[in-house]
Amino acid sequence: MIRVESLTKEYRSGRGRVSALSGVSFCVEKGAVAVLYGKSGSGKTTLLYCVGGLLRPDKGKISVFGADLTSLTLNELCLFQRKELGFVFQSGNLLSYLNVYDNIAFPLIMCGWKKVDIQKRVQGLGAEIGLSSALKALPSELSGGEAQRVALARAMAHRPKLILADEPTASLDTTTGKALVELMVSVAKEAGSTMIISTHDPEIIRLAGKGIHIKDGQVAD
Amino acid sequence: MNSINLFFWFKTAVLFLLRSGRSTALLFIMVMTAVAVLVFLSSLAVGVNDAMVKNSVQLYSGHISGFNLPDSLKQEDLLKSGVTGVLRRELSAGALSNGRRIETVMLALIDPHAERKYSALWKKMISGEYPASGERAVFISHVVAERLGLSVGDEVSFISEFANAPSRLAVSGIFKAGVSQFDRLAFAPYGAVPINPAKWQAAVFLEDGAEPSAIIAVYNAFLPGKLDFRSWGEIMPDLRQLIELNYVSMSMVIVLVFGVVAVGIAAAFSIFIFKHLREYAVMKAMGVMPVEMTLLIVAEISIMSISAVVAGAAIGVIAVFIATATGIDLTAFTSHNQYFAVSGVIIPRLTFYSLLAPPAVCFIFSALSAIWPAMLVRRARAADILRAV
Repeated sequence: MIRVESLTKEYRSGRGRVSALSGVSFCVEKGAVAVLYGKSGSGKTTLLYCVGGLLRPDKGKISVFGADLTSLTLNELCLFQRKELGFVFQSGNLLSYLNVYDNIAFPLIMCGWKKVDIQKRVQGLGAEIGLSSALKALPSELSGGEAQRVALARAMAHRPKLILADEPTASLDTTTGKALVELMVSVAKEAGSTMIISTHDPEIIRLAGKGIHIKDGQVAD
Repeated sequence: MNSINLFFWFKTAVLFLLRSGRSTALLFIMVMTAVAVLVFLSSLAVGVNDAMVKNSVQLYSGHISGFNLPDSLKQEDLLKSGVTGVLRRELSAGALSNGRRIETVMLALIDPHAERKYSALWKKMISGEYPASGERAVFISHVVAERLGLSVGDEVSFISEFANAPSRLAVSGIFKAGVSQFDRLAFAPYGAVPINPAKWQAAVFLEDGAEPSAIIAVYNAFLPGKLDFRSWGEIMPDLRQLIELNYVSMSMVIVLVFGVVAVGIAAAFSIFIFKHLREYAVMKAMGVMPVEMTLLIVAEISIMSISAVVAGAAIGVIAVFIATATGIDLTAFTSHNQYFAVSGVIIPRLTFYSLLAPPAVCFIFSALSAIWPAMLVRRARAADILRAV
């Protein structure tokens, strides 16, 4: 289970202190797909980054499958991220100098998988996302939708317990975006992974089992 | 899972460099060119030093000079390993006179054949001929010739402490060394004038690369008594200092060039990093540790530098070999320089210094240049980059 309790996060900027999150609390059950939705600037991405360990909250507690993220050291957090987490960002997800195969294999190598297992896993995922024939292609040779499918495959590759997706369809057209979200949800459910997606795409909200409405840095209802 | 997979990060660094294409190529060319040029320039500096030493020792003194050697010591006794030739000179201080004009000189009785083989002062002859063995002839400087009003073929008297009566000698040739210390030196074949045979001077010529101090040590170990042998460095401290100055100034050039190159590398890699900043943030989000990120940057810069250094050194070596075949004739710039009195042809030479100093300095500076880009990536927070870029 993912448990977020009384999370507070402020940013310092030229306009002084800006509150991004203020006392956010929610839970997501293991294997569920939850959607953080709300307007632009409501705090969705900040919340997602806090859950993923990319940002340290000022106050509050984040427990991910029993691990208290706020108390981990930098190295422990890195190890947690590489083993338990998969990220899909809005765009620019892939390492431009690695081909599709190497991008998907990246987290597997970091997790110490054997070469044979990596090959099997990458080829399997390539087939699953419909890009078996493009494993040697570079990111620059892929369309936006294909690149996001590769990003999803990479996020799923090491079978993480939690997948976080930050506006994954924002740079895609409606049809491609819908297809990607359906793929994400089905792949996550198949693997038994928990998924949290931040979006303001109503199509994704409809597909999710749980919606968390974020408004002005707080859970609205 | 905690251990760092060095091969993986090395491979990732290679792929980063290969697929950064033109940027890597430009940086590679910059480093390679700098190394090649400096290997060549360092070899040229060694060649200039060699030429100065060769010109200076070849003219008269040899690499080693022996003073006041006893007659019991034979030339052959000094022919040790590393020695190519030994010249025996019997010296007599005296005066040359022509009518009422008189000039003091140091007359060296010599073996003309051997002198022509090993020394080079005869090459500075401006008129006449070098005296032949057995001739009662003298070879004098243009300064003495002018002061005594002599020209080739004229007769001159030599008066010394060893003879009651002056010896009559024909002027066989006149030389112009361009070095003032030789202006009062005159040469005549053995037996041309009476002389004290008890003492003689040696000019010892060595093979390329032979160390004078080592040969002197051999002489001191083999030969009885305490004999006075001095290396060219002791006889010509000004030349020795000039050579040391040459090495120091070349080393400063190498350090300065690679200081600039290192700033270029650091700036170029920082641009690479800014260009790929989002990707580094994504890697951080995937759990890549700061130490691994640093390793990646250092590996990228090191691989690029090492390959460019190897290529640059190879090109520099090839250029040196090409230049060695013909030599570089700088006579137009050296003709009035006493250290290039015989020849202004420079032959670049590879040494431990010229071959290794530029690559070593380049590698050290490249490694230092990795610090800034690595710090940039280490310090950058993934969340800030992902929001901003």
